[in-house]
Amino acid sequence: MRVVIADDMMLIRSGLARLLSEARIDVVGEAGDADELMKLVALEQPDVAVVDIRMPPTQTDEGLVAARRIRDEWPATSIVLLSQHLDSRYAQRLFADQPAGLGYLLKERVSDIAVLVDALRRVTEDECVVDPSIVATLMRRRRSGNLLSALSERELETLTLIAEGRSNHGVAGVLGLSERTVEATCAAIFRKLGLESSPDSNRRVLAVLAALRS
Amino acid sequence: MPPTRSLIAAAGALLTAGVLIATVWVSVLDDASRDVTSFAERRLPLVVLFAILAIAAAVPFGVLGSSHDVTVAAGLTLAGTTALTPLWAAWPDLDPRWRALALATGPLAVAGLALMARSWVGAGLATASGLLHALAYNPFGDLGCARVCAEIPAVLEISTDRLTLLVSLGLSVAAGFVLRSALRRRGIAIAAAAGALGLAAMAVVRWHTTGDGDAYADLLLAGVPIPGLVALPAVAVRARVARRRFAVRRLTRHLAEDPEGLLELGNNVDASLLSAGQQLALRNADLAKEARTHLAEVQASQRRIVAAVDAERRRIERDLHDGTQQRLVGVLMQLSGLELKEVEHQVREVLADLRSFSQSAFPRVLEAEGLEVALAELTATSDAELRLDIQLARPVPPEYARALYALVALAASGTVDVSVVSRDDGFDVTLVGLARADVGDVQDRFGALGGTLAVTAERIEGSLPCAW
Repeated sequence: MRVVIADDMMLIRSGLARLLSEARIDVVGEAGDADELMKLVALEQPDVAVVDIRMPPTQTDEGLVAARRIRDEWPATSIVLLSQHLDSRYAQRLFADQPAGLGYLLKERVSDIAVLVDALRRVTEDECVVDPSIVATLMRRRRSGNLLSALSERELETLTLIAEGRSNHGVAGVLGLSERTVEATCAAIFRKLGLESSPDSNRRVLAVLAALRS
Repeated sequence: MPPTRSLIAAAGALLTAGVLIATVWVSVLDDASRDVTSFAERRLPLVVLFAILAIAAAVPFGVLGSSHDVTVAAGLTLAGTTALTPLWAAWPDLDPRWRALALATGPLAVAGLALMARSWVGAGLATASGLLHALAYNPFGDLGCARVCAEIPAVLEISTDRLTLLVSLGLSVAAGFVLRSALRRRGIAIAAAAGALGLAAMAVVRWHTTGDGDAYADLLLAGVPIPGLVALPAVAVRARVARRRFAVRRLTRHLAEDPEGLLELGNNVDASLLSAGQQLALRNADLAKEARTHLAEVQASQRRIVAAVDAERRRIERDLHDGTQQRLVGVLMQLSGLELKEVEHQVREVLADLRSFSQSAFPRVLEAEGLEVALAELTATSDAELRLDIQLARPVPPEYARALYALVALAASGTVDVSVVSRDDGFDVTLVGLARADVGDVQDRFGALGGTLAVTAERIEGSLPCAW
């Protein structure tokens, strides 16, 4: 797997590069801002670009703008966006256009190399990746509400994993269940939440996020 | 309560007006066979009679117009009254004694005019002439009274011819004194002196025409408009003042709702034209303006403070993001693979704390996405059950969004109904079901924008004026 990294902090860039190399992932370039990133992607055409959302010059959403351009110009390159803060509304909008092959992770998450490698692998397989903390926040709030009180413990676990962007196959792998069981659980969850079940796991993420936010 | 001199002037005006009305009434009653006055015989065209009465009618207004000077008002009242009373002799039902007295009051008109010019000697001489006239008056010797006057014994025995001479002499000298005093004083005194000279001249003519009844009657009538003519300048001044005062009053009424306009008016008109109440209103508007200016200054400084606080919070958030948080993430990366799980865990907790701290210091979502999205995010992520009712017809300026967001963010627990509604001139925000809240910081934000916060048990109502 070939990866480029874009972050204006040297410390983060080199740390990430070191961690990824140790996990035997090929880091083919590092960029300090959005322009460098675009050049690098054009040159290397990597499998994944790991991009910090806040970069110079305005430190607002340069990374996000660059990610959109990469999606348009190099659709084969998947993207993992990193942010110091997470915002469920932001995530919802981010995934609204084209969720496949896109990840949105809390920056500090990447220090857990297993999580990062898992996310990289999933985006290259055209899944989407929503940071667990976003889902956890929404789920925690909803536990007191009546929407989720109808769900069993197993169903809540499954819903969490679905909201994080995992496919049925992925959910089955995490929970140690058969894919068929997961499918049945999903159907039950969607019926209880009054949602339309979709075979596309990425569209499913959006529906679940919207339901949890509403 | 009007001042005493106004009351005196009002009484004088009433008196002169009453005498005038009574005179006209008497003339109407007059029957044609009695020719004490020219009224009765209608030897003069009606229009001239009306003109004479109209001029005489200026006296009450002149008295009112001279209310600032009691002496002038009193003098004019005396002149106006005594110029008319001789005409009462035509009243058939009047007791002969009173009729004789009425005919004898004529010279007192000069005394009144002398008072107006503050010529005390003139006034004394004219009064003396009047007294002499009254005491020595013998109706039988007076041709004007020949057919209507009963016999009344005169106190002093003087021939009519001589009496008329003495009276005309006394009045002429008195008029001279009035003129002398008037030349020093100017103004209405000049008019009074002219009137006195006119009356004195008539007295001389009367002496000259002793025995001619028609001339006597005409002279009586000719004296009637003189106080009115003297009063005309005062009436004119009075009318001008009244017109201005009326205009000012109308303006002040229009401007009552507009203090700035009232103040501008106050700068442009003579304060003496305003009533005490209007001056008070003006002073009040002045003070209110001062208070508003102070309030605006305080508000501006409060706004600067809030803006400075926000700028500082933004700086802190950025510093944390670009510095501390990044370095801690770097530390986490270096710890990775070293099997120091406890240290790693602690660093992650510090990062989570920093995240929530910098988020509360400066909610970036509010700046980037606006109030509605920020409130929705607050609802989606807080433990509170916020039931939002947001009706915003216009974009919310950043300071206002910060104030409204800060207020709603107070409702961090429980179940709260939140309503934020934009009006034509600002925002209304209501929070119902709030468990408890310390609104200090929020109060400052609202105050800086000229808004108000009403906090009661479980309910907060806020209002923010906004001009857009």
